[in-house]
Amino acid sequence: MRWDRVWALAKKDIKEYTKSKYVFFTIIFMPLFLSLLMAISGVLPLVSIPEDEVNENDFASIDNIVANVVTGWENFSPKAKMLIITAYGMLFFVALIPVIIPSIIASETIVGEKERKTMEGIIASPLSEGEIVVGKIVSAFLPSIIGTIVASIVYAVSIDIMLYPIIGRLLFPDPLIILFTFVISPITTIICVELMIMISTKMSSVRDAYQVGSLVVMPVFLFIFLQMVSFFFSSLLAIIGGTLILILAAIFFYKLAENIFDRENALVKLM
Amino acid sequence: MSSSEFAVETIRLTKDFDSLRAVNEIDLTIEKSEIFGLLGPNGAGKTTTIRLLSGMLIPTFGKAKVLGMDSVEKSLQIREKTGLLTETPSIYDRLSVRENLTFFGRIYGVKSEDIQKNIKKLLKIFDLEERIDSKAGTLSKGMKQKVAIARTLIHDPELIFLDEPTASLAPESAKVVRDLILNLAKESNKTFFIATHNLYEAEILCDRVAIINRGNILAVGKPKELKEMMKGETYTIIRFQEWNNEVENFLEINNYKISNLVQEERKIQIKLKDIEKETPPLIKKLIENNYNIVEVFHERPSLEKIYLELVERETNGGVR
Repeated sequence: MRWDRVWALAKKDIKEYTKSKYVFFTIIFMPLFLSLLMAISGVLPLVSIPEDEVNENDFASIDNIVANVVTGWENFSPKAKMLIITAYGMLFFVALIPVIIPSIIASETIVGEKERKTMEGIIASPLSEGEIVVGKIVSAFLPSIIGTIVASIVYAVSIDIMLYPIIGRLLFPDPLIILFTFVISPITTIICVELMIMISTKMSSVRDAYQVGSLVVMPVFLFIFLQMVSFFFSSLLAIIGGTLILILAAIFFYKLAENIFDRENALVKLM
Repeated sequence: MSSSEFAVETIRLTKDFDSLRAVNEIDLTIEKSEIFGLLGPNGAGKTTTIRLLSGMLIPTFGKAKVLGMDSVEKSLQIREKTGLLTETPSIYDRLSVRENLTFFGRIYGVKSEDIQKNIKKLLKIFDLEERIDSKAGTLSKGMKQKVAIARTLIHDPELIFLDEPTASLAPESAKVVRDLILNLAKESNKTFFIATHNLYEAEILCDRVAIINRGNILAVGKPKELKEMMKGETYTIIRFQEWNNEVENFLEINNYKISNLVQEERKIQIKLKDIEKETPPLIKKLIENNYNIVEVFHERPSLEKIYLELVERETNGGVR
């Protein structure tokens, strides 16, 4: 693996898609918009609800689950408890970012190369199949991770600003948002790009790749959801197990993508 | 000549796509510094041959050595040492000319300090210095093709494959590209492998030409040698000042075989067995008999005629 070549390919892709207004706006504004929207539309309306209108029985079923991860849970008022539960609930929507961004970028950089008839220049170059696959992963990985970090920070800060006067301390950063941002999201980004590479071999237009890709990566989102839910059960084993499964899936899909992105196969599909 | 002295050497090189045989048992040798043309109609197997030679496709059977390396085992090394101009320019419209060339320089492993030097040198040759920071998408088709050729040369390859380098270009742009290829070939001593369906291009650019149809090589040789193959197909054309119906009888009586006659143009076409010997007495006889001749010329078979003849023969007869 020649990393200078991999980086050259990734750098070219980044330069290229940042010049596409649609992709650029998706990368920059979608994380900001989604995180702010979730905080403002999901949590802010509840902040102004009078304390006596909150009935603790409404969320009694998950009360014990959240109590596992939030210290001093039993000392919070019913309203504070409701706000904390909602803040965690809305965080799941922010978890869509490491699925959406890589899917859009991978469609643009892989199927887009086919659509714009530039793929043959790549295939004719000395880049190996592995270098092409890794180059495409890197070009989608960086904005996805940056987007996820930005979204997590914006969401965490917004929630803390809204909840601090009520709960008297900062809810975020907590282990869940750190686990999501720095462990789950990087691995799922890689898996999404690998899936998109496989899809791209069958697709000839970026629009088709978006549509099919959005369906195929949904199970990945489900896995992120399950992984985050397992956090509430304080099952360290489940978290480690889930992370290992994600890593193994990323390795498995890499091998699959590398094989599917066979030079001859890719070339014949271009003809 | 040992095999390493050849730029390309193929032995029964064959490629099947499912039931379609795209390239059929090709045997070719191309010497270093040669400009070699692969001439054939669309779908003849030209692009597949280039893809096999550049290590992008694996032969179904047979083998190819490129710059002394096996096209399957050393495909990566072959791609490093060769340049391929694909049928479409394969340049990125959203990136500038400089960004495009820098990218290709990097993936071909050119040192950073050499990339900018090579870009400047190539853009000077291609007269594109002023457009270095223009987005490739804003360039004309001809300019894009020049950038595509520049990207093919950015790593200073020993062997350059050009797939239809002037197809889709306006005549004036095509001429510029052809002149560039000729200049590069003269100055750099590089080997060129040009796939084209343009006979004129093959004739003026190539040292040797192979004619391919339905994956079969029908003939290989210098354009002049190919013309010699159909030496017997040379015609002598005589154009008169005014038409005289008796000229036809006159020629027939003198045992000249008339192959065509265009009265409106005052032209008659005959076939002579030996042009050198028979032309002077023929002119003499015509003058003696008061036929006023405007011109006499010989129409030798063009590469186009040979090409069409061979392709038609192969298509109708079928080699396979």
